[in-house]
Amino acid sequence: MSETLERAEPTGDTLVVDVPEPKRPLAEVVPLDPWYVVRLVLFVAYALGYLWFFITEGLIIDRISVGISVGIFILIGHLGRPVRRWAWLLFDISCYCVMWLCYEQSRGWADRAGFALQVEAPRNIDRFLFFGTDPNVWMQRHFYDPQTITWYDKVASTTYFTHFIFPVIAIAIVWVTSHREWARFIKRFASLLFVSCTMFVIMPTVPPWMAADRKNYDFRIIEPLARHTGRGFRDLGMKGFVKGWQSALDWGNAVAAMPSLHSAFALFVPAFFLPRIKPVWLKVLVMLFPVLMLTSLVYFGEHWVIDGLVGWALVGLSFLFWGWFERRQLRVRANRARTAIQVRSAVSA
Amino acid sequence: MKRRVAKSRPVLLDGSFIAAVLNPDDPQHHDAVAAYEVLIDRYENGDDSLFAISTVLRQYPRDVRTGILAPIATVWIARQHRNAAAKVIASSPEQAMTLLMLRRERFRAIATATHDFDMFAIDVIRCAADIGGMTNTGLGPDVEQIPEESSGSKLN
Repeated sequence: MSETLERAEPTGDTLVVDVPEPKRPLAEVVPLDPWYVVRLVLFVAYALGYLWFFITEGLIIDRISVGISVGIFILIGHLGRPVRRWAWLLFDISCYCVMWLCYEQSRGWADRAGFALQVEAPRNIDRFLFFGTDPNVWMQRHFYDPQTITWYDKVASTTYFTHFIFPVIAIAIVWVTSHREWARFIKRFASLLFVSCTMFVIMPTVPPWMAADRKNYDFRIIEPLARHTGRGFRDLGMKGFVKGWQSALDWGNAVAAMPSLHSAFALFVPAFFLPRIKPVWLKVLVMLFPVLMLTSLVYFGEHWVIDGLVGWALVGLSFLFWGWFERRQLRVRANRARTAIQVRSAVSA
Repeated sequence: MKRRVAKSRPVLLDGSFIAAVLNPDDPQHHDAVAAYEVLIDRYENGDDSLFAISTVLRQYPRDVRTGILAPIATVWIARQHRNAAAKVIASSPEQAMTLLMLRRERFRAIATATHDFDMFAIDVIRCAADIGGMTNTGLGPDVEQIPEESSGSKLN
């Protein structure tokens, strides 16, 4: 205001200052969507219900139960939306289901395809990366105590289990908030899954815990390892919820170590949201999560280090490819508009 | 290398702006085309996402929609939007619908050839200079800043 007065010029005896009217918020003239309140209330109820289920039954882990829980969330998010939006949702859900079905089926294809099992190659790569040391074995020798569950056991175990909810929550939130962002997310996600599943089929890889297991398998290529993944999680009083229908649909593929989807998803979600995070310290903190995940996987003997690195590389490639493709689309449309403007100008001139 | 914003700014192009871009006889034509060209640059750079409501885009033939209006995505109008727009106090049904969609779809700017939206708390783009002025708020990195006088309050 003082700046305005300094620049003001007197007109006769009075000083006339044209002060702009304050801008009116849109909320003053546009009534609130009544469905917005309904959705908000139901979202809160859903969150409370999810929390109650988590405490009483455990963390929802199996894909069908996860699908149901996400489905309810998305239905709430679409309440009161136009019919066209529901039609999109139907299409999206079909694509989503096909994507996961292909993922599940790929486990069966992997068994039938009969590609050679990768046993020593990942171990040799890990040894090369760590100057002759097996990182899984080294970590368990230095940090694992069968008698004691330490704080880092709990952190690592909890990190491992976030894999079952972290990406799904991200998908559901993006789905409900922005269809465009969901499309961007799912293109990258589906590409990652597709390449990973192809690798599971053509490059079945023995995970460290199997390579070390003397009782059930005969690989014996590294020293014995403890597979204590759920120990810390259970010690925190938490458990996993797996419904019976999982067993009917699960074609479990124990030799799907390369690439590590745990590592890949742990990088995927932070990487997708990273451009929206402003503080650098928070960016760094968020990007430590995939490192923590890979460290946990190696510590538990679930994956080789190279599995995680390949998972990260695939995430990077997926983002690079779709980033390039989307920029190209923008360029093509922009050029089309510019050309049309030039043609119109020439015609009108 | 150009700085990229985290998320592109959604801009709604209203009927008057698109009409001004397309009609060489419109008094706002040159300003609108100049502003539209800047918006296209920003769209290509990922700084802005351009939208128009379906009832506006429907007025133009397909070759126009896929040509000069190619960067503009459609915001679909449903019956519920028409019903809600009827409750909005505005100078015209078009303005009511635009206001409704501005709020419902959380647009951050509107490109228009009118002064209908000047009173509302939203960035209004009528010419290229308006887009330049918005770079002061950190929304756009690639457009030259304009002098403060041209966007500030006027003194008599």
